[in-house]
Amino acid sequence: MNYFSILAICFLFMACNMKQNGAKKVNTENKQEIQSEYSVVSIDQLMENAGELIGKEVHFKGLVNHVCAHSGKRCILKNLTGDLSVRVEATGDLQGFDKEIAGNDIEVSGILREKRLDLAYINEWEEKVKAKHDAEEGGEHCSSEMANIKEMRDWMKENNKNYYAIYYVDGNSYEIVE
Amino acid sequence: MKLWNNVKLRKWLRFIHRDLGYFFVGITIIYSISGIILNHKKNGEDPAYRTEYKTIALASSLTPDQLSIYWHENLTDYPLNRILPGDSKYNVYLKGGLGNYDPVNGILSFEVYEKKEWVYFINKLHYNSRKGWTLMADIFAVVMIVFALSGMFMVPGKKGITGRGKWLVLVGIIIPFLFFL
Repeated sequence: MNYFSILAICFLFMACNMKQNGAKKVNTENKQEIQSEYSVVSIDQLMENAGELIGKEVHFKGLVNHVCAHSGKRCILKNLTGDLSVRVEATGDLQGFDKEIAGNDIEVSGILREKRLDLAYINEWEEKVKAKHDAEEGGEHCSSEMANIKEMRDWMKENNKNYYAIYYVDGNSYEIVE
Repeated sequence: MKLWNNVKLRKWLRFIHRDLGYFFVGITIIYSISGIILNHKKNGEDPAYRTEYKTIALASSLTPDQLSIYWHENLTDYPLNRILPGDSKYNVYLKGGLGNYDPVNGILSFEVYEKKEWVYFINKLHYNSRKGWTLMADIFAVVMIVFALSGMFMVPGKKGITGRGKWLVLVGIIIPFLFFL
């Protein structure tokens, strides 16, 4: 086998790989079209039923309040009153979020997940914040952390739980809504 | 006969080094430029975006509707999406930007992000954030090893690996380790 035959085989191998990637891309596009047929809920509606939707595919829309500047792998969506937010992580086919989607309304498809903060963790956190406040390092930041902790405790009491649930979404596609 | 004295082998090494070199010129330049850009990124921010910062002094105590009217009359270059009143400030959402208005002092400040298409493209490849690029990136990584090894052995004599070449190789290997001493 001469040198040029080896070169030809190498190029052919690379060309085959590129063709395969093209086919995968078409599949992804089809998947996104199919997803747009689902009903899309607001963040308020999603949060209302979050406990029952853990581990299930959800489709919702929200206002992009933040896109991670370092990796672009996560973004924060807010509802239309600005009092509820959901973190979306880029997973699967979704490689990341473009920074320029900030401020736009977007529709996201993904799997709803839950992270639980148990009572011991919240107690420990509160002690640290109080210690910081006593050492006069806190100020406005400490007050907002204490307010967050109080909100968590209120939620736990209201829902009769011994943990605070943080819901987030492993996103697999998104699209800007005009 | 020693490896580096084999004329036929050196001829093959030159062929491979030359033709792979031609083929990978584009990717080598992409990785190099992207590497320099990523090495020098500021405050950990994504260098693929240009951020424009704006601060405007407006009348204080504007309502969200008044701010919206002002925006549509005076800031048409920056498409507004929504204004959501927060605890002390209004959060301003642009199509591709974020900001806030302080009703106490009337200061409106916002930032808008614009994608630098070429930097975005080459950085995505460098970060391996494009689907299907992994195999190509792996091939390129292997080829870099081939370049290093073929480059060591393709030149005979005093300027080759048995001459000054071995000292240069040694210095090149030592330098990275000096940074961890």
